Amino acid sequence: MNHATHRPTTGRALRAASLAMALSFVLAACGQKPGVHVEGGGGQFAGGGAVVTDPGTTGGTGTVDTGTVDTGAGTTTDTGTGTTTDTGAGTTTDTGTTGGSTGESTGGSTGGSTGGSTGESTGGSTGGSTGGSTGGSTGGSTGGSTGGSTGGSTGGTATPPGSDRTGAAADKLILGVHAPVTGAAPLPSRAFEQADAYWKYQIEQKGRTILGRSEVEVVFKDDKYTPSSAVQACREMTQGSQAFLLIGGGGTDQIQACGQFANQNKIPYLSAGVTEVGLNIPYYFAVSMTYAQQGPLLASLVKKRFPQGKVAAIVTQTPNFDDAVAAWESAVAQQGINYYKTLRHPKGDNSWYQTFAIELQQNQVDVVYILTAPVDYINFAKRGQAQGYNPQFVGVGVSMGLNTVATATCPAGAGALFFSPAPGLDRAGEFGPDWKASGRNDDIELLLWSIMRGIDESFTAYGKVYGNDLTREGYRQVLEQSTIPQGLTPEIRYSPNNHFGGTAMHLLKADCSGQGKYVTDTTFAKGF
Amino acid sequence: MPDVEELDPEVGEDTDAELEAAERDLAEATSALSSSRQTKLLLYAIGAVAVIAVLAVWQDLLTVIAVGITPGAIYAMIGLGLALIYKASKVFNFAQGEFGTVPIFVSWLILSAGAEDATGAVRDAGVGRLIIATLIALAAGVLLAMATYVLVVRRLQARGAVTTLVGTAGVALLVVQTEIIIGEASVRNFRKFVNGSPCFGSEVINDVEVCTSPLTIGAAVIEWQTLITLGVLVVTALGLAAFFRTQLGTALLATSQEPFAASLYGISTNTMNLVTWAAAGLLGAIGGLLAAGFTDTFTPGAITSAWLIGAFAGSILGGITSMPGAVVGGLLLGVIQSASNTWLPSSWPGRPQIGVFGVLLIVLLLRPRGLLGKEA
Repeated sequence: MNHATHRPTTGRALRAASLAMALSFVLAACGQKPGVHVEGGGGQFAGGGAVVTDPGTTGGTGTVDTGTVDTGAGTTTDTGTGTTTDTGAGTTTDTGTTGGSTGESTGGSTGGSTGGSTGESTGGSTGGSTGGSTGGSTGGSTGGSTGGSTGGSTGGTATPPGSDRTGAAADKLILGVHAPVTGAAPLPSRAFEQADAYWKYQIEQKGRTILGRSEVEVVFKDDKYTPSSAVQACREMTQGSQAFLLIGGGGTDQIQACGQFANQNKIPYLSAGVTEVGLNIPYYFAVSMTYAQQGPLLASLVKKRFPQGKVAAIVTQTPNFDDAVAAWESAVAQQGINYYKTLRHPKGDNSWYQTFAIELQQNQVDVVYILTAPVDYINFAKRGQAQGYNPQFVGVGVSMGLNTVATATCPAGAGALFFSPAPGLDRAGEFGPDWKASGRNDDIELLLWSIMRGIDESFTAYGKVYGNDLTREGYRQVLEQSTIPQGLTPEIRYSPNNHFGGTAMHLLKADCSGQGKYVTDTTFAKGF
Repeated sequence: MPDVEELDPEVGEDTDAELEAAERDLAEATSALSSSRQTKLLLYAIGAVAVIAVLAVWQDLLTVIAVGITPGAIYAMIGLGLALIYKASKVFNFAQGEFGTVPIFVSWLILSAGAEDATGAVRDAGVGRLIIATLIALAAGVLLAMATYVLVVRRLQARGAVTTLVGTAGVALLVVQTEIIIGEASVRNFRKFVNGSPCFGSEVINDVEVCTSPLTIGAAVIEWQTLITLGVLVVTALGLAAFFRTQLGTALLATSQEPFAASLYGISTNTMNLVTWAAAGLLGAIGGLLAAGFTDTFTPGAITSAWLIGAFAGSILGGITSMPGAVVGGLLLGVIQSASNTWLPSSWPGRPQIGVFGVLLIVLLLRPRGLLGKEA
């Protein structure tokens, strides 16, 4: 009887338990804190309508000098609208007028006007005309030596490849940013709500336009620290909000997932360097050194600063860190570092802190390279300290170097050294005058600012080749042949075969004297 | 004398058959005896190996238990709330984690109220303020649980267990979002009552007194927080055991078993359910504050994300209908996690999960009601 009455109840309990566990896993998969899409509502602002003035520094090469008899009187009143007001009325050899008119017809106003005027003043007017008609290189080759080159450089622009102009309307650019602000390893959302700060400053404060546009909207979505949510966020930003390109704000697995989604859909995708696994693809670009690239740099740092130290690593168990681990272990062996071993812990698990601390303590490990979510680093450092284990922490990446991490880790993480794409707030003003002038003082905003500056540089490079007609295919093509000059971030050199273009990193050190923050230890480090 | 075979050949055949049967029996008995001896020998051997293994890893075993006992106690505390609600209402309460996280946030908000440097204010808060913050935080957990019952569960319960379960999950998600809006999704330091560990010897190094002989079990340093957590768990478990012997506790049990019959005796099922949820809220709040003290940090949804699944697994392992089961299951879970981290190969991804859910599966296959599960 008892048995009979128990069985159905047990069955119900089991079914309910199974359902409950299933829902647990769903919640866990969602980072347990599914919820708000922190939409980057901001980012819509009007610009000052400034004219982009092409300085013409990368123009044609002027290899054939035929413009020695330039008397062209092209007075150049071309107003940049291509309406053939270029009056380059040269003599028979001066074809400044042609420069103007051809510039109008194909290259646009800038080609015509500058071609004409420069042809007039210094070189052959042919430079102007041909420059206008066919673009920089041709202008140079057939123009006068000076006129040709200058005319060519500022001459008309080629038609960009492709036709995908999503998010690049005539008056507005839309960019998408994703990062975890909920989930297992959240970042503060307020900084991402200010993701448009760079563009706002450039347009409103400096009076610029960006590829002829006076508005840049930045859309932000929370990826909840899970790859599936990240892909969904990226899909929403590109299909719903119509973002022209996507930017990964943090989280290796999410960046990889979104990067691959973007590549499948031929959407340019940029992020701070993380893994290289699965991201050696046409539309992905790392704006700083990847973890694998930073491995040898970190090993040389450890060797230099802690030559007698016994070293170990704690790395989250994800295939996306395998390249980082391989590069690090190889570099450690090359440097002859006294190495204990690499400990891997499951992603999302929080039961390993004290066990690992005890193991490392018993094996007298002095230096720990930690490549985990920041929350795991914080908890491990604190559990270690409670255990009486206070190693020197070192690491790569982006999010470990955020002040919120230092605040939460101190004093256990005092003196921790982490690489970062941007310098600390203490020295950011030295390398980013615009940043300094903006009066901002948040490190996540600084990182976003530095990424946006790189994108701005790439837009400028694009403009020189294809003008303001922005296509995703053309942007990708230009970007993979670009070098982003050093500013807040170290120089980035891309090539068609290498989209992991980082060349150096800044080194930050945890200062626990106050409430805890990072200060700049070394800038633009390429080796130690 | 006549030949036996000649007299009655069948008799001789019977005798042979009997002899053969006797021989067979003897052989079987010998074999059984031998087998029994072999079994005994095998058991002795296994026992000896087990003893040697335990002795060989004794220090490691102590360490494993010491490391796993604190998280285990927290799982147990949260699991007690889950089991209590399931026992009384047959509801899997996914909001239980937030009954723990909200008090953490409330405590932090009180300690940091009005301060420009919130981190510093929380760190430097006096004991008096800490006690007040803790009491208000516990009350917040209770109120949230009561509100969940009154506003959500009571209205959905008649629509079935799944609807109610989804309703509690909805509460959890809503509360987490509120925490994010109020507190932003960053990692914050939590202020606990006592830092460090019991110390038996210290040295002054660089003008700072450093404990050189802390209390240890195996290789694990035992913190005050661990002792507090275990103490609170023991007191809570004893308190609950005593509670179920009181008139109110009996009424609660009666309501959970036979609500209609209980109501005929004048027991208000509504009131009983409300009392149950309030008690579960208190257990969740205590568990949440202990968990934050253990990790020293918290984020929005901290208990839901880091502890709820473990607490569910622990209470199912122990028997979801059993309060002692929740305690045993939770503690066991913490130790299994610790053992998995220590002894399973580090190349295995998800070692603690493999250990925990492997054991859970075996226990449920052998004993579907869990270790101590039974009807209320």
